[in-house]
Formats: sequence, structure tokens, C-alpha cells
Amino acid sequence: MKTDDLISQLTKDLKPVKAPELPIVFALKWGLVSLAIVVFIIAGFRPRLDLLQSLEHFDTWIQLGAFALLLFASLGLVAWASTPGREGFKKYLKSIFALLSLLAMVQVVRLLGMSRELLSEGLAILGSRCALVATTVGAVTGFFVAWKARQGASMHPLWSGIVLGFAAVGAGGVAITLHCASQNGMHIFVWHFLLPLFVMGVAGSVVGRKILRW
Amino acid sequence: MKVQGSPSLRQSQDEAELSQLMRKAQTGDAGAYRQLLLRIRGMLAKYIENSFARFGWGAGSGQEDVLQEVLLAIHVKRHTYDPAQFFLPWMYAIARYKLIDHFRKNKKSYAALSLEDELEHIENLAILDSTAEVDLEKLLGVLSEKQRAVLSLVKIEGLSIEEAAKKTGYSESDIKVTVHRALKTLQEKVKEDTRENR
Repeated sequence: MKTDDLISQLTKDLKPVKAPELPIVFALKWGLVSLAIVVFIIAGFRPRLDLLQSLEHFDTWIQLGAFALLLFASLGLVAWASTPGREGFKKYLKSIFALLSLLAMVQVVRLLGMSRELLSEGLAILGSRCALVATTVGAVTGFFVAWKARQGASMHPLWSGIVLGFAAVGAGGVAITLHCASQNGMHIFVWHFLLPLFVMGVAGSVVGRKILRW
Repeated sequence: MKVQGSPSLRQSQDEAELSQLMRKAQTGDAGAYRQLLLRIRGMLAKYIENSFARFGWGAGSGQEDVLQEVLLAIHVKRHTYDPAQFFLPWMYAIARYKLIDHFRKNKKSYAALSLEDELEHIENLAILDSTAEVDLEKLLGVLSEKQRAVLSLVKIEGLSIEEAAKKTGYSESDIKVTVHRALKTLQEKVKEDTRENR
């Protein structure tokens, strides 16, 4: 086909389109929808028995806030990368890793004051179940948000995929904080944060490269 | 010495007209859209031709196919253009994405420098080329003597990397890295000027 013919075809029956949402609007809108899905899933299945009491503790809110922040910030980056020509992607990506490092440091500081017995206990208690719940709930919201991100034009499918994985960890982290009653810092660090982060990051990089290409 | 180029896309007539046409196209104005596609066709063809030449591919090795792929991608992804942003960087970013796809599919090797960085530099030169006048000597003043000399040979006199290496006595990889760094410095200078002018 000649380029002139292609241009004629493209301009025939042109339909209006809606301009893209700002990254902050995308992050807030779909982040809130993701959180609603998470709360719905956890409430429908099995919230922790001491949920109401735990919400009286500042520590629970810190965890919920940190994971929600990771979710919103990651979604913002995914939207940012989905608009061709928008500058500042690398800086934004660095700030996501800075946020992750900060979250990891906060968790590590909590570990410093713990005894050796508590540390090994934290590694043992029903950890795989927590990691499974976090990654499963994260995957559900991750796929939902990936579907929305696919409608953009991601200029960095690999990194967008990895960051989508981080967003899933944020959603999964909120879920697991509402589901798991353990307050052991080691348990939270390994099974709620580190392992899901690794699994979802790798899964996001594989899935993102495939589904975000256009 | 004067060349076509501008420290500010905001002052560019091309940028203003194309972004206005694109805004109209997003509302469903087929006439404006046709005008837009016809105008960007030449700009994209030149960008693709320069990119092919930079990577050692001659004319007739699929440039028209890539041009059509880029036009098609611009059509399919036209909803991702944010009217609050510049149009030319959006358009060239899509072209770069499609070129990378094309080079990778055809297993073109691009050792030493990142393909994406290289295309971004060609893209920045294309954007500079489509805007108003700027004093080249003033712009080149931010470069070191070596960078200026090498850049003039490769980008202004049009020598190949190999020819520039022979002429200056530097190695080919040294020439590539010098050009890469010089373009990056220019790109930062242009961005800095753009921010100042906003």
C-alpha cells in the first residue's frame, strides 16, 4: 500500500478521542479502585480476627499507608511512561526505588530491636500462606491495572511491567495487613514485603514486556 | 554561523501549528488530521532516513514500511497525546519506539552505544531542525574543543565514524563516545534554555 492511500484510509471516518488522564488522576482513580477490590476480596473471605483492635494501633496505619503509597506512586509512574514524549521518566523511576529503599529501611529498623528467637519465629509462622495471599490479591489488582495501562502507549514496557509488579505489591500489602494478625517484624519484612516484591517484580517484568508492547 | 534550530519549542511555528492540528484531530476533524499527517510525513521520512543511515542501512531497506508503521501507530495511539504537552517530542517518541522495534526485529547490531540514546539524539536534531534560528557557535560553546571538532566532522561535514577516526587519529569507539557525549551536552543545554524561556 502507498503512504498516500494509508493517509486517506486513516482520515476516513475519523472518530473523536479523549485526551489521556494526567498521571496523578490515573494513579488516584485506579489506585482507589484497586484498594476497593482489595478490601472487597478480604472482607468477603477472611479478615484478621483482631482487625478492629489493630486499627487502633498507629503501626497498622503506617503499614497500610506505606503499601498504599507504593501502589499510588507506582501507578503514577505507569501512567507517566504511557504518554510518549513525556520527560522525567528516569527521575520518577529513581524516586520509586528511593521509596522502596525507605520502606525497606523502616522495616529493617524494626528488626534491630528484636531477639534472635523472635526473628526465627517470624520467619517460620505461616509465612508462605501470607506471601501467597499477598501475591494472589496483588495479581488480581495487577492484571486489572495492566489492562488499563495497555490502553496507553508505554515507552518502557519492561520497566512499566516491573513497576506494575510493585503496584501489585502495594495492593497485596494492604490486603495482607488486613488479613494477617502477626505483628512480628521479621515475618512482615520477609513474607509481606521482600518475597512478594521479588515475585511480583519478576512476574511484572515478564508479563509487562508482553502485554504492554504495542 | 547560523543553522535552523531553536532553544525553545514554544517559539516554534511548526510545533504550534502541528499541536493545534492534533488537538482538532482529537475532536474528530478529519480535514485537520489529513493536513497533519501530510505535514508530518516529510518530517518522519527524514528522521527515519537519518536513523537508517546512522545504523548503516541504505535507502530502500524498508524505510517506507517503517514510515507507514509510524503513521499507523500515531493514528492508533492518538488518544495518548496530551494537548498540554508539546507535539513534536510525542511524535518522535512514537517514531523512535517503532524504529527500535524494526531494528530489533531485523537483528541490527548496534554495539558501543545504546540504540535508544542514539535515536533520541537524531530526534533532538530533528526537533532542532524544525524550529527557529539559533546561533550555532553560541550553542557549540558549551562543548570541549575535542567534542566540537569531532561533532563538526560527523554531524556537519557528514563524515562517517570511520572517516572521522582516520582524520583525527582517534579510535572509532572514541569518536562514537565523543559524539554521544557532545549531543547529550547539547541536548541538556537546549532543555535548560527551554526551561529558562518558559
